Amino acid sequence: MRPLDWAVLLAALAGIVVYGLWKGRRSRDLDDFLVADRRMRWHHVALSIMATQASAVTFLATPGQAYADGMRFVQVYIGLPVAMVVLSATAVPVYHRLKVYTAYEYLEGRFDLKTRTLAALLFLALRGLSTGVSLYAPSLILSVIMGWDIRVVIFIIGGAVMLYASTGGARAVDNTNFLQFLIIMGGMVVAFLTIVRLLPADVSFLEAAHVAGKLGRLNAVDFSFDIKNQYNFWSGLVGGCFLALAYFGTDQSQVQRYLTGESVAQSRLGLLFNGLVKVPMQFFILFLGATVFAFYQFTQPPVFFNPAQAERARTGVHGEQFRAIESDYAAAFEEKQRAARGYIGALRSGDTAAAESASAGLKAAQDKVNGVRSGALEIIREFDPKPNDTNYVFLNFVTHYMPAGLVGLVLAAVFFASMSSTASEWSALAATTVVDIQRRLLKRDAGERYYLLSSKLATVMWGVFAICFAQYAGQLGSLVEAVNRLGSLFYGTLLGIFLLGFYFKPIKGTAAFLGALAGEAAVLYCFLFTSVAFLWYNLVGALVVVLAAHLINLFVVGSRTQDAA
Amino acid sequence: MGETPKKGDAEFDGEFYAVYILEDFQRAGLGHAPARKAWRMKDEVTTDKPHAREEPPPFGGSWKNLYAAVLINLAVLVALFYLFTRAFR
Repeated sequence: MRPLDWAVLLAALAGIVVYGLWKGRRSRDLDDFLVADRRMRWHHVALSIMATQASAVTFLATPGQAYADGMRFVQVYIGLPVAMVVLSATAVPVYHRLKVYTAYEYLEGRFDLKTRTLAALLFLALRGLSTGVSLYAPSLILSVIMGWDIRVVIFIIGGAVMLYASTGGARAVDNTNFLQFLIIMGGMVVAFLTIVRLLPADVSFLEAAHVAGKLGRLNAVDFSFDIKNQYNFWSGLVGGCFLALAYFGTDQSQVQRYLTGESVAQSRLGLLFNGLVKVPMQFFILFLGATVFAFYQFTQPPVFFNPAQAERARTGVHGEQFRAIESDYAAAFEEKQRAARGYIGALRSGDTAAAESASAGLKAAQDKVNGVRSGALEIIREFDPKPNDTNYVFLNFVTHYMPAGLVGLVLAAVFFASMSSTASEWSALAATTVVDIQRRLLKRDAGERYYLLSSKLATVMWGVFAICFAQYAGQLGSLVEAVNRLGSLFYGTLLGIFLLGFYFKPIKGTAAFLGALAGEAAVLYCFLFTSVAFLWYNLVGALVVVLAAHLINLFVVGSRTQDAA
Repeated sequence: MGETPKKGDAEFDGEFYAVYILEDFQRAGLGHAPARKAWRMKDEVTTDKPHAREEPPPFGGSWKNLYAAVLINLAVLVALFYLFTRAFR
């Protein structure tokens, strides 16, 4: 980090905190604190929704995913626009008309208190745990790449968010999300243009893209059907649609964003805008990663992108062997670079047979590079059972190759991405804690000022919890991975409950509640005893909830009603 | 006037509630004008029908047009992704 990068980063962080405090200074009642007085215009709603969904890991892991595995990850988002249309047509008008603060309030009016409380507690448990992980994960990456103490990074992100989210509430969160998202996307565009500029002068961007494509990094869509593969068109369209329905329709951190819209129309436009631009945005971020891959076909990458682990391997008991592998890797890279240039030469000549032959040579050279790298992974595996450096690819490039000032800008974008999703989560957790638990179950009719103060305190409480959890997340090992998967284990059930509410009028509270338990059992069965890809859990959970509730309504609740009559 | 059921009451139910309002107005001798107004407002007051009293979008003509635009955009993107994948395979 050069002085200019520090200046840009610190100015950006200080600026966003001041902006958040200023925007949230008028939060004087519960309506203002929890739903920004329902005054937000659609473009604020839209970018706040997108900033909430896109965490720092999105901008760090997604380019790395494209680098390692190609662009097929974009298919996870293909069902999202369909979900945006469904939610705009159904959920948004209902939530707006009822003037709810949280999605779970609706469930009490529609079903009963126990269903509302079950959904609220599920959300608090899932989001409460995951907010710590979502603070920890980018902090770890930033601390490793920059050589900073992870506790300092967690405290900077958490402390900054707490300052404006606990004082300004949803208004501060939505306004900062809006600005942060613009800066994040600006940072990504600048990074992309820098990569293109850094390609060798004798290689055009299109030729470099052809090399990346030939090595399987530009595989955006795959129409083959395989229920065990989550990265194909069908799992993205169906499973991804149900995931998006659950996330945007039942997760308070997203529902709260469009509840701030000043009307049904403004909230709908926010969601529809997300439906229009989310898929191309993800494509762009993945393409950024594929472009980094293309860049590293002509500039030698490190054998392992996590510098801390590479250094540990270099200085460990197998250090000499690791350094020998690094030398072999350099030689294999030189060979691959020649093969890449040979392929480009064949493309330029227009000779199809030569291009085919050069393509085979390029793939063989890539296999050789991968073979050498697998030796390095074996050494790293001795102290990390699952060595994975994809999250470090993009930041490694940024810190080594981007010019002064722009490194600070991209780092600020990563900080902002983490802050925006964290702020939305804390704000939603506070809203659910106060509205669905405290005001409904513990202390009713305590007055507006009391609940406003409670909401501010709840934001601080969840912030402190997340910061503490993140500090110790590194010692939790595989639990972090489990928490990351936890969402997909419960979203289907939550979605099923809301689907019953919106579309199946005869179903009442008890049938919905028991149906939810059956749906959760089905998802857990899939998780524990099958190899079904996780995107399908949402569909399975939602369908079983709906079917089981109907059966329970027909045979149990229905017969009880007849008996009573 | 009789007790009008409110949201959350056991007997409250969409159009049934609107009939209560109509009867209340008629019993109170307020004539048909407020009754008609009550009938027009019934969706706003009482039902959770998503398409009740739709607010038009500020652009695009109708919500159906905007929904179609989002889905057509998705179809075009998938087609472009397919062409992109083929071009660089």
